[in-house]
Amino acid sequence: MDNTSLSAGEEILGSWSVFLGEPRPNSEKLAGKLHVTNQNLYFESSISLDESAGLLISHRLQAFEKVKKLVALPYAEIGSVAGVKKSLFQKALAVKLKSGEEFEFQFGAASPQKALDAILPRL
Amino acid sequence: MKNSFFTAIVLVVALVGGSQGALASANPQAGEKLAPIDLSKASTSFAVVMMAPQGATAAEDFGTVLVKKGAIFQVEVSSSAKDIAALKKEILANTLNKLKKFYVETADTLLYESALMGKSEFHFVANLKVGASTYGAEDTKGPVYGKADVELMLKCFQTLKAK
Repeated sequence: MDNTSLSAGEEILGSWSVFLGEPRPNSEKLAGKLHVTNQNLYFESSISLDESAGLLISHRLQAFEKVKKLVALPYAEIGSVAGVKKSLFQKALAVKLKSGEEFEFQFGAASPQKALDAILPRL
Repeated sequence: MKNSFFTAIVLVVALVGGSQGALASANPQAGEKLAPIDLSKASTSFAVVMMAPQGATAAEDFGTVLVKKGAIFQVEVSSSAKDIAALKKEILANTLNKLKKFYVETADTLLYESALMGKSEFHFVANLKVGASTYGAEDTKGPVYGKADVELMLKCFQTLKAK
């Protein structure tokens, strides 16, 4: 994400490699970066994997599609965020929008705590 | 004499400009002027032309021809039909980019609204028979298109005809 995507006075507080989708085989995933700024939360996707990606990779077939997308979520649209432990080694950041939409950014083994600390005071 | 010469020049310029303008049709939907674009110049296996916003380019892209102008007009034309029924199942089953509504839902065309992280985006996929061949098309995934953007892309694809 370059600075041209940011508005005046907006600064990136932190960026993390994450993916959207369930952290299990045979589930579709959209991988990219989560950027937390002082004004918005951004998801910048880079590749998508469909649910049969594992099978395709095992057959040495291309299993992903490049999807360059930048989705911005102003803090005013976010109802709540919380850290979620999916399993022993899987952690996620759960986001609930005021519209009722819910989704999780999967952090894998990394902790979402720093992202959470950057977001919470702005809600 | 001098005045007549300049008048003639102005007339020639106006006529040439006028004929070029007549070639480009106005798009009432987005106020975008359309002009024919020759896909065979991008790939010889695409002996077709289609209308596209003036200034759009066509380039071969991994077996498809990408007709593009800016970020919000990106049509990937393929020389074979899309499996619309299978794609519809994928759209319905997508748990990340969740379907909100089909605006066009026929055997050969889907135009739909979906939402990723609660943010709406629009897409299309379509087939069109041209002579003995069926061509497929869809928007390039990535950019966040509005409804008018994909309606224009679909409308342009549906002008596809043999050269």
